[in-house]
Amino acid sequence: MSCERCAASCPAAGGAKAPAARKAAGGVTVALLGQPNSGKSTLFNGLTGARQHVGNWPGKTVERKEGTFERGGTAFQVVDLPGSYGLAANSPEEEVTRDYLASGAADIVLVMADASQLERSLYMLADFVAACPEQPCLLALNLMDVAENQGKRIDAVLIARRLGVPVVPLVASRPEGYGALLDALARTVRERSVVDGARLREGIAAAPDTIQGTAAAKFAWIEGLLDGAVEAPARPHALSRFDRVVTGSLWSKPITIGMILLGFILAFVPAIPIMMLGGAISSLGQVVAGALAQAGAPDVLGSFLAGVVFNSLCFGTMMVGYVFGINLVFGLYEEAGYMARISYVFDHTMARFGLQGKSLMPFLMCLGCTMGGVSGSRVIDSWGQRMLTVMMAWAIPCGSTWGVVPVLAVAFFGVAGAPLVIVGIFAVTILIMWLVGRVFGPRLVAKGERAGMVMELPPYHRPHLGNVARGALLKSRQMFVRAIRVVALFAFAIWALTYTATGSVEGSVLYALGTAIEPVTRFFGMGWQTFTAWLCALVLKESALGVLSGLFTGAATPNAVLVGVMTGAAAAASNIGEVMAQAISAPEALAFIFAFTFNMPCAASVSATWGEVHSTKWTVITALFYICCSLLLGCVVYHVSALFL
Amino acid sequence: MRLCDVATGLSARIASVSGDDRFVSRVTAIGLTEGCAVEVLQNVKNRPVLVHVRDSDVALDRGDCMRIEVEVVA
Repeated sequence: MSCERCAASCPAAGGAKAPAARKAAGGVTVALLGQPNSGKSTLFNGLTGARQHVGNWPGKTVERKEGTFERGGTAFQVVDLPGSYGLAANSPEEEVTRDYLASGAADIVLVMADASQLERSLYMLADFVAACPEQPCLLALNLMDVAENQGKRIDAVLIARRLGVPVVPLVASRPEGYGALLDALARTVRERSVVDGARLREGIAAAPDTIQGTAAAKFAWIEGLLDGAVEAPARPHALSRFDRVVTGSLWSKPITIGMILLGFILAFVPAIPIMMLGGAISSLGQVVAGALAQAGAPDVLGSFLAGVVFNSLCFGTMMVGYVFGINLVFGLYEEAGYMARISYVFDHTMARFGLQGKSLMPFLMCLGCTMGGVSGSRVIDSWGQRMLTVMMAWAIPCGSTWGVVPVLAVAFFGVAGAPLVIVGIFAVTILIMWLVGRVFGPRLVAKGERAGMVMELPPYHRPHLGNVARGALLKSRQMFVRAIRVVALFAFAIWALTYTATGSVEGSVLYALGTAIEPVTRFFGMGWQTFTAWLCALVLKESALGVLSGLFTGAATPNAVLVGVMTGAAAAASNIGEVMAQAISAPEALAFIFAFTFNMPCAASVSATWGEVHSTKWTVITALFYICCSLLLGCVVYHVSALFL
Repeated sequence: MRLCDVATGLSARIASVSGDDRFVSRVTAIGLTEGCAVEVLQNVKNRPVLVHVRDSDVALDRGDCMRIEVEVVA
């Protein structure tokens, strides 16, 4: 192991702080260090509340979370280091953690351990003490409530005496009980206490100089540390009946899929009222526009307000509904310990794509709504796998797509032909997901990271609803602030392209543009009307039908296209299919169906992706990939089907 | 005997872990060190092997378990 190397660059050992380290002026920087499931994120949310910033570590595809809080006149900056089982630099997460600790940017390191599995989870402390022996730190024993339920009694005072740093029992999901932790933190800042690691170093020096030898010495040190400090009743280790059924039986896969779908449905309970509010905002926009027109204001003003301002707020609010509902329900699953079981059951299936078992969740949710699936990707703890999952999930046709495709398919290909179209769509979905895995998989999930599953299954415990709801609210707020900008940009672009002063389609920029480049769009199988619908679907997928209806049947309605965008399928004439069947050819319709289905999803999903993956670069790459896919599909489908139809 | 061949419910002691450094350090960081006692909680086809080690339940990739030699205790 390279403890010496790291020690040399540790702050107290090396002296000066690394210049690259970001520090709060006059404040104290606290880094949270712990294994997955040690409750770091919960403590981070509890300490910093809404004062947090989420981004990526420079040059790394690893999420960086920072926040601030104040206590007793001191400003604290908190850095939530990525969770990993050790500091061996096996993954980008571990590299980030190692480099950060070595930079000396942290004044205090708060090491978190899971009190319910203390021996194993203290490995992080041992790794840390070996790597950074001079770093002032303290230890929090989280999940004390779970440990107590297991009948464990932990003598924190004895452990503290042996370590030489404060040791605080904690229930991170209850911020009202943070008093002792904050006092201990203040004490650590004053005394700059470091762990007495003499025995650990002796043990490592005496052990064989291999990974196994060093690790065994670390665990021996942990055993010595806990000797006589932990009292646990003997209990059988066998899996509970429940776990045997949900993880091992023949039924475990259907049960897991059922649990995910149930969660998705439950997520709508809090989501629907919020989404209805969003709908009301849109209607309010129409009312305001109407009132402005009555008052003699220029038509463009009302149209802009309704089409861009109110519409963006409407989409933004609807998105918050999804984000909140999904984060709430799946946050509960995660805190209860169930999420790890989903990962376990589907690990074998998903590993073939370089993904983890949890990736199944966003995939299933995307059948309902891409935005929902993207929010659901939150539970995937490796950034690369999360990005790859989202990228693949975009190919899955969402619920709104199914509101458009069958109408057109039946009109053009009859009741007998429509199922064939739908089978074709599923085949292309799988093809695109496979393609994404092949093209982007190696770049997002490095081969080394495709190591097999090594994961702890946390003990089940009752989740704290308040704590999970707080996390979901924080997440929703962050998403709204970020997403509204992207959504507004899309809404504005479509509005500017489709608005006409005269009300007739011919006056819009889009008409001029669409007809001018029709020779080009024809190559991709779309005439100017279908191209317009394809473009407008970028704002809202179901608007495609409304727009087509406006263009083919309702040309007399003022701003028919804009109305179509805002009201979606509701505005579509009931005979839109038949009308279109007379106006355009079957190959064009088929090309449109495929180009529309596999185009990038709606603006809200794109902004949800941007908010979730914190990478403008990868969001743009994904969007461009799908636009290319869509046009290419349109082209191929059009020209090939023209040979037969 | 390899860990992947230990039937559900049996206890064993880790004899050796072989593989590249990356693999060995991943496995040891979660608590599987040479000489430590494990109990196989669940070993079913096409699933990772579930073991109880150092007071925790840990899921390990089936392929990886082929590289972990154990001695069955009971």
